[in-house]
Amino acid sequence: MPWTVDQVLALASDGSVARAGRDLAAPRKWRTMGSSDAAVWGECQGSAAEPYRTIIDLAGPAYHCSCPSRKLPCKHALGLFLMHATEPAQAQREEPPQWAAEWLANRSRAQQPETKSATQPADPGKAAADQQKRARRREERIDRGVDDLERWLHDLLRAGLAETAQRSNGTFEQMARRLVDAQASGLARLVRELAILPHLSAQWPERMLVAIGRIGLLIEAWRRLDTLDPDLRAEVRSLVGIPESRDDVLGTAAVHDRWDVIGRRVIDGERLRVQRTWLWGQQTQRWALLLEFAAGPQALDSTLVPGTSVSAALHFYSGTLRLRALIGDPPLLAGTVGQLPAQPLPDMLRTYAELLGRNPWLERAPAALRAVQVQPTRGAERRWVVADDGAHVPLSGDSTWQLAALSGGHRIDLFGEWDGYTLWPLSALVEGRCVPLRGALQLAA
Amino acid sequence: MTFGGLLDAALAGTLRQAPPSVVTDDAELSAEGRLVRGASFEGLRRLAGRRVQHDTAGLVQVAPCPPETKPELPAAAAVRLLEILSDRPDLLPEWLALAAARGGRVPHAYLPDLLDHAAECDETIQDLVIELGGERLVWLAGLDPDSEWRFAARVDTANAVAFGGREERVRALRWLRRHDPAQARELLVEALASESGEARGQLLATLDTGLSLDDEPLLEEALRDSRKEARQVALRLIRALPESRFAQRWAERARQVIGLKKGLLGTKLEIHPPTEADPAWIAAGLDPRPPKDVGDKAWLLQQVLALAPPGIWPTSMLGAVESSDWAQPAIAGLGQAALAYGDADWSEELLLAWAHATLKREMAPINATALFQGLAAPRAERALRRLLEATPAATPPLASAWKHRWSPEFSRYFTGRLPKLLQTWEYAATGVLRPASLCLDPCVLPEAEHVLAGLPESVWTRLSMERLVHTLEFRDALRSELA
Repeated sequence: MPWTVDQVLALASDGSVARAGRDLAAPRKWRTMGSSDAAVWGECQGSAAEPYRTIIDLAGPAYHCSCPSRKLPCKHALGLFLMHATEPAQAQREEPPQWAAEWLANRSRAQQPETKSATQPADPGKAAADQQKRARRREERIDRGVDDLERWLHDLLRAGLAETAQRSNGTFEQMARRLVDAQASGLARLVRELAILPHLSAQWPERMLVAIGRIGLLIEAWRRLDTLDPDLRAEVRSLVGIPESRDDVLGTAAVHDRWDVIGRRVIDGERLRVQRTWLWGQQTQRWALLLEFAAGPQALDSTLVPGTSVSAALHFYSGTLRLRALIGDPPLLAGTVGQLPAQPLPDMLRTYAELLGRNPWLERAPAALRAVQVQPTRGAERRWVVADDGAHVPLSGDSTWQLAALSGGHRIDLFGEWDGYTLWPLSALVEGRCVPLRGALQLAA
Repeated sequence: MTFGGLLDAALAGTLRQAPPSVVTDDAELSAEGRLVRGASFEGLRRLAGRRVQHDTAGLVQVAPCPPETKPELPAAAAVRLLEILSDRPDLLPEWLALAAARGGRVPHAYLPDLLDHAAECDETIQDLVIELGGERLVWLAGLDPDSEWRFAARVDTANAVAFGGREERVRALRWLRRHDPAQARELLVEALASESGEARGQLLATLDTGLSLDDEPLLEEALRDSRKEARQVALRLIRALPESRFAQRWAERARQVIGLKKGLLGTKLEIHPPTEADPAWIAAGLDPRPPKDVGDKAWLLQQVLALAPPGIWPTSMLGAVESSDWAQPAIAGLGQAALAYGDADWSEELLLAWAHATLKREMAPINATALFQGLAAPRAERALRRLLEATPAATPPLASAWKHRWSPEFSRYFTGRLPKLLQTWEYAATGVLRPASLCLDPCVLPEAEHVLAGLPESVWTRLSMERLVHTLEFRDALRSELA
């Protein structure tokens, strides 16, 4: 697959490395350069006496560089990759030099499946008992937190939501902190999200009441956890704040497929940045959601590039919808995305209703729409909708103008997240190519 | 309306309003418990059963954009544009000029960012943006004709001039001047008849674009306008036409005031300032009232020299002017004339006079940056070279007026002199190197790196020099992407 400049830039873990990489994407910065079908390599003169040796395995992609940077890819790898994407002929086709050949050989050895030897605890019986005791203590603590939350919700409703709007965030924040103390971080997040609603839209009372209803439903479900079927139980536990462990998820059977990377959204929170990447399995015909979190200057994983597809093995979390997943072995690049699993607008809403029937707490559903028109509304405050023969739903987000520019007034297929109220567009199908809205540099800025 | 009833109770609070009962098994629940349970049922039903809206009256019908005729610019160049918009807006004019010379259009996905940026730029930039945006840019700007992007929207010019607001009229006239100056002039005459006050000056200023001798009669008329704003604009524009009858008339008048006599010791100057203003001269643009602290005669002399084309005098007379009793008003008048008539010889000579005066810490009544900015590229390089040879220490204040892209020859000359110049300029070097980094031809990159390597580690101009090298690298890459 030929890489595009945009796709390579999307691999950068942040804006500064993207810019530094652009600066190094000039042949005069490189002493030597070479390439084969599978790899590109080169020697870049840096501040040290010895040049840095950089190599990119194009399948994957994977990188190696002798520079001290811990960023992956580092600016050297990015610069080399950018040159390759702009003008592949710049690097001469040749046999890799020894240092490059060694790394490539090591890498293909490392990719062979290895058998993991699990460390056995000394006394399996006692360890299991200890773990159970800990789990019970935690659940009791959550029970108390849930009771507390219910009282607090009732107080809120006794005073009325109109009064809530005038209240400071303090009330919500205090409750959220008590829930964190009770080890119910999931519930804490739901309470914090209630606090934002009055700032988001004019229809906040309706949204808040619906959100309170869903929290109420979660409280009831937690209290009846034993009577629920295993998938729903796992869903409720993870929503309250007891997610499945990574190792458990990675221990489940993998789902192999060619996965299309269709859309990515990064949500900047006060404490955390959350990256949501949506994948679609070409054979399995199912969605998968990869969630990544980063705090402070920590970089988010940028291995998967929207608009490309990878062959990868995914491990799904338990739950009624089985959307959230983890990637097992390093994915291999397989091509670009040429179509979206798009539905007409009414079908998309029907699918959403079905998903909601199976998971009433679903916050954002993947929504791919077929042949819709992007149209502005009349009136002083410009808003946008996607319309299909007169039927339309509102758009939200910061790339609606970009979506309009890409559509040019024609019907297009697009992908976004549907939260029951508005569609947040993330990518569009333009001339047979899935284009992420907001380019790599725009995201990094 | 069960959800509506629940919402009413939730907003008012259950203390004031009891919630309706939604499910059958809620008899033992408190009012709040009933409300929460009702909200979970009805709320989810609302979300799941949401119908799409069909009210198309509230939507703007969008006509499809016509197909593009130009190919997309290379991807690397387009990504460079995004980087420039976010990090290096100072390089946007160069990128746009090179991209326009190459031909092609900006990819659709980047148009909103480009429009946002261009909305705050001047017209030359906006014109390039429109040229590079293809059909889609004009189409996109037309979706919101009241937004900041309206500069790019297609307008019916005749209609805009006749019925538009002031700003819209000016924009439409300027656009039309570029394409059909004669028709624009006709529309301008009609518009001037209906406007009063300062707007007349603004409208008249649109003649700036595509100015020619055909505009002379209209400008002559405007010199007698009742509004001062309009008269000043006319006075500025008509002097940009050195062939005009206005210029010839003032040349004759100026010769009555100043005489040149060739003597044994070179040219001698005979200055006869008019004692009072001739009414005919006032009608032809002369302002009879001197500002405070300026004598009547000195003021009249300055005015006459400013209104006459300076090309009628040999530049060699400058020395005699400087040593005469009337040096200050005469030099001020010549400077204004050189600027207004765009006279390169006089501009260059006066710049040197200004530089010498500056070195001697004397005040010269010369607007040096404006004079320098008025010079076309080759003349500007020649003038700058003379200044760097004769008065290098006086050049930093001029740097803000450097705006041309220098030729490779001049760039090499400049970089070669740079080590010496940096020593001369000392602290002022920072202010010079930034504009220089935008003017220098990137082909001098190796020489610039050499200069940087030669600077001692501790010199603080090093930082500015590093930035210059980096900017040259950036511009070098920018050029190769648009080659």
